[in-house]
Amino acid sequence: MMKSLLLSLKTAPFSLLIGLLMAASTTMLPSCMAPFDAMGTENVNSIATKLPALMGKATEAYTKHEAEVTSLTSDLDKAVSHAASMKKNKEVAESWRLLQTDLVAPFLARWKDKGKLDKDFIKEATTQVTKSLDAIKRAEMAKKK
Amino acid sequence: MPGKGQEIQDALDGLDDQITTMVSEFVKRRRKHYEEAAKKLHASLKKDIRRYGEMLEEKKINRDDFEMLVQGRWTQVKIELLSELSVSKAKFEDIAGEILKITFKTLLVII
Repeated sequence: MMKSLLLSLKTAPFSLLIGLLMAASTTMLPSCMAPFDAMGTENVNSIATKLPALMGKATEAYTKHEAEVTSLTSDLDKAVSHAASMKKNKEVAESWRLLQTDLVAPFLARWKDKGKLDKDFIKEATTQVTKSLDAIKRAEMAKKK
Repeated sequence: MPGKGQEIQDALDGLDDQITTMVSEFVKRRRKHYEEAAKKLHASLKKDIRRYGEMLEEKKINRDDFEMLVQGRWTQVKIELLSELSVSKAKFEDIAGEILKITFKTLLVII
């Protein structure tokens, strides 16, 4: 009777220790992806609001919106740098890079070059940017808090 | 009488089927998801490229616009695929966490 009581007293702390180890393992286990990134989410939400709105203004003269373009280009640079600086964030960082170099930069360069762009072209290019930002947002939201 | 080590070994062996089923179900679900996503991406890509072609034919856009839109659409696909990969990694973490929980729960019962 005494022996079993002593044994139960011994096993209880041991179980507790295992429980603590379990909790520690699940939280400290090497993860294959970056944890939830509040700034990354904020970046994608902010740019998803500003960028399509600016692209919609490309029917007007580029010179009229040059300051807005500079500001947005700077925001985009920051978002790209932030994503690249995060560990285990390869896919999201590459998505931002592609968005900047292959979608936004050519559009802005064309606007600057031609002065104004046609509404049909703008509509299609804006849809591509919006859907790409939606995809980046989905990837950011999948990260664990 | 078998020692604690043997008891733990037996319990872990007993988990083999459960873990195999869990991983197998996960892979099946993801595969189905990938197939559906690939079909959807391809259908949407074809629809958009056809529309750009029609716009070019109707002279709503010029040749340079068309080429830029096709190039941009390809970039969109790449970004969407990267997003799928990222979401899939998160789901993989879920299943890895579940396996770890089951293993520890089993060991706790024995210990």
